[in-house]
Amino acid sequence: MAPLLAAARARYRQLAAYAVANRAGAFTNGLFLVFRAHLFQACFDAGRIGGLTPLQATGYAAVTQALLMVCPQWVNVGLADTVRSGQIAVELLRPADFVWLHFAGRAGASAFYLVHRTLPLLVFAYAIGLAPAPSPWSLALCLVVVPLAAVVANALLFLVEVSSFWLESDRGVRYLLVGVALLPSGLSLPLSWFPAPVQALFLATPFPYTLHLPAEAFIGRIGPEQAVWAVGAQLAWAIGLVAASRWAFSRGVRRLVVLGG
Amino acid sequence: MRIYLALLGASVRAQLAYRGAVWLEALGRFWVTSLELVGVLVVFTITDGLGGFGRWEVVYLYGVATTALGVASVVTDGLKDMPHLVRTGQLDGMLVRPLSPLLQVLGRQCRLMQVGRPAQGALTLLWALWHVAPDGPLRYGMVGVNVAATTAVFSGLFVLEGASTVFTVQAAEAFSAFTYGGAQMTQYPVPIYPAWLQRVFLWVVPVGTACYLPALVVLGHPDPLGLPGWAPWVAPLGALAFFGACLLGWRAALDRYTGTGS
Repeated sequence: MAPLLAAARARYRQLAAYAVANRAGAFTNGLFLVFRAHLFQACFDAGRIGGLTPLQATGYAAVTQALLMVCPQWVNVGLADTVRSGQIAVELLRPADFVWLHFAGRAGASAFYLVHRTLPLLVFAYAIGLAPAPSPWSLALCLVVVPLAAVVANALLFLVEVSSFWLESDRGVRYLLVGVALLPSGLSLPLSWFPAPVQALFLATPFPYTLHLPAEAFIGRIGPEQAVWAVGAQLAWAIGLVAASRWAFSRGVRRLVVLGG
Repeated sequence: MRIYLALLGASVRAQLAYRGAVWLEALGRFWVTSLELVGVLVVFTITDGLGGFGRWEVVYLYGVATTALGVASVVTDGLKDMPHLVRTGQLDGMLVRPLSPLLQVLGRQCRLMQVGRPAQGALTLLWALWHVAPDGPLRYGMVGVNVAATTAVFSGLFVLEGASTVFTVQAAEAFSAFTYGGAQMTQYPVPIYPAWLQRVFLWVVPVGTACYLPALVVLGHPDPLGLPGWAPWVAPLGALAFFGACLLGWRAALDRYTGTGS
């Protein structure tokens, strides 16, 4: 356990060293948040759309943007680079499990962005009237849902990059992920604005459990009864995808031939 | 100019050695860019108009913004290497050669897979024009001006982003707010945004000036912002002036370049 905590802490501190880069990223994130929120607002003539009030819709835009680095959708998590450069051979010699060490580092990154990206952006969105104040129940639900969402998102990225054991470059697979995940994750539009059959299709994939579910939880659209089902499904995806990551990695390592002397 | 084209030609030929990979990635970009268009179309299943603009008018704006951002990022692709050039000190070598450093940087690379975005934008633009059907050759001419002006603004922003790396290689992401963010913004009509954002994108970073104002002429749409009637006609000049200012900014930045030491 100690090495995992150390890996997470090291990653947190590494990101904290680039303060300017984080501020630049937060600025861009924040501007996208404002663009999306006002687009959603402009869709309303009166009443609700897809069960959302205007404030809930802009809140949905705020949460999905604010969590973008905590539950990353297309970030380079470094596994493919490690494989391509041959550094993986050194990593495998370490007296700790590589996959757990990797996820511990990602947990450190998510924790960093939760504190230095998500919270400031949500406060900003609330201050300019684009996000509702969450109820205690919504906040409690987010405490469960956001960490699980980070696990699902990072496991998906791990699976993308693990393909570099077999392929020369993981770029094609990465594009495939962005191309498949963009709409069902909720980053583009609230899922409830899509036609019902499309929604059902989206909810059968793991992608809504990365951004959509935390957003719905935050804006107070998930009651205790739905929460049981939603968290259950999210937990199942998290466990399944991490297991798949471990399995794919061990298969990949068996195939690995590192060049050089 | 000839040297620039020669350098780009070399880069393009090198990539054609891996033809399959290039095509696949260009297709991937085409597809990912198309998802944004799907977003626009889904929005119009739940509403009839955005800020007083109809579906095909918004698709037209999307087409202009996407084509312009796409062309600008293909042309200025070499600048994406700037953080690397500054960090490793390779930029020092370029400064002593008897050729404009900007041309040298731009000529370093031009990744063909990037054509996915402008190709998707151009097709969408044609699709929108077919539905909008502007009347008169003047308005069709304005389409060209519209795309060219917007491309000039985005190119200027990419040049400024490259220039900023002379001071810090960490801030480049902030420029994405104006390039990718600007494209995201102007693919929808400017009046849907709050007044402070409108002011920023009309007067400071003229992405809205270049994309939205000339589009009013093409679409024959009255201006909901209440700007004077000649505004759309001078807007392209404003875009050109902004591009010039960005080039001056690049020059000023390089004058202050002190290297990273050795």
